Amino acid sequence: MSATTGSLSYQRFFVETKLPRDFVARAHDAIQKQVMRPLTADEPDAERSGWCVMGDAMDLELDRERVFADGFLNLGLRTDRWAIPAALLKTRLREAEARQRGKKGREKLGKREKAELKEVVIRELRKKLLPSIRAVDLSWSLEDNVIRFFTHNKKASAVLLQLFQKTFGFEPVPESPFTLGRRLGLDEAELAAWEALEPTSLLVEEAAQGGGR
Amino acid sequence: MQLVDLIEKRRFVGREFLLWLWLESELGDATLSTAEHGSFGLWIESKLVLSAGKESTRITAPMPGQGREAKEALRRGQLPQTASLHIALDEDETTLTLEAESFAVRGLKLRTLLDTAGDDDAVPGDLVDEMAGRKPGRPKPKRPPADEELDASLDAEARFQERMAMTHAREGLLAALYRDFLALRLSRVWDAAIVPAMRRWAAGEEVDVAAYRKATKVRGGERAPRAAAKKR
Repeated sequence: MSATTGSLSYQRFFVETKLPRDFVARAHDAIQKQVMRPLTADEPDAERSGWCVMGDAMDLELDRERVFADGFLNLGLRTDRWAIPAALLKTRLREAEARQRGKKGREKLGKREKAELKEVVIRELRKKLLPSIRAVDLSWSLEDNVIRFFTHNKKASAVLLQLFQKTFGFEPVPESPFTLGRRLGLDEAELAAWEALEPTSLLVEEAAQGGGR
Repeated sequence: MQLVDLIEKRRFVGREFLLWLWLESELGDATLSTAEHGSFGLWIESKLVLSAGKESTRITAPMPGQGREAKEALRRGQLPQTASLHIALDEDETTLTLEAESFAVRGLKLRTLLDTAGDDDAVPGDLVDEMAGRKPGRPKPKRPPADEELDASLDAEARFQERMAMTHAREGLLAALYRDFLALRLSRVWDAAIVPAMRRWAAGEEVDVAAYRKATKVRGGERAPRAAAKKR
């Protein structure tokens, strides 16, 4: 999901860590170390994530002025994944196994031979296919200490949080009714009241049993 | 109480916030106010999801909160889980869907100026050329590529800044409302005046709006926290 076009869908996280004076330089170095390395067919990895330019998954040139702009730190999280159609893999594997059996003059292949053959077939198929590429945007307002993750996908959010922590060295706090209340300034008595809260219910027994008006 | 409990065990407060917004909107003819923003329009529009445990009610209608189905769901013990809100502040109209327990936002539609700027110059097809009295298919004048790239980059940056500024402003409005809500929710007024009014409202009975307003005037002013009240 994008921060730059269309309607916005996002989750908010907050930074409660005090950032160092040389944060921009340090963060930029750390980002450079986690720039997306596109998947290649010869590698064993089936999936990989890394930073890209916000709004453009194919642009991996993360110059400082493209990441830091007007008080924001903007990045994209790019995830490449090999997605070989199961039916295609099955067919090619069957063909390869038949060839191998013929070559070796045997009726059956061992478990290990099959596993090795599968790796070879996957590598060959990867050379003919392109990995799927997905990207989600992240925008961190350094002034407000708020980070917006432009996704609601649980897996993408988990990967994003993990890479964020790996890059910046801390985990941001996800927004919730309590964290927002705390930031808005609950006083001591209100905090005590918060602890004692019980959920409000408008339950009416007859309505719950289907006898409501 | 540990921080994780303060967060996880009190997520229902977000649902109660949406419930309160819904009530305030209906009692105030879709007009709400905060000390910072003055009066503005706010109503639940197009989608409302209520739930309790495994039971849920999903209502898709122009004004989903106004039908009996929504109020009956409340009377079955359900509370809002997500609601699509329409906010009309000054000359601006915004819609968004707010998730109660995380305050995550979906489908925030902003009326930005820069996103649409330049559309007058756009000539995407021959039909547009024809309608504009130009010869269809004529080559479009082009600026040098370097300038185009720089302009596009500056435009994108300006558009993003505008979007973030507007997003921040909408979040500020919701935060101000949430602060007002918390002042009530964490005071004796909630149980004494608001919950009884909510029960009457959910049952389709008349709510004495003047009495409700008088009783809930603590917003932004005097607060009487529940814990302190209990100690007395």
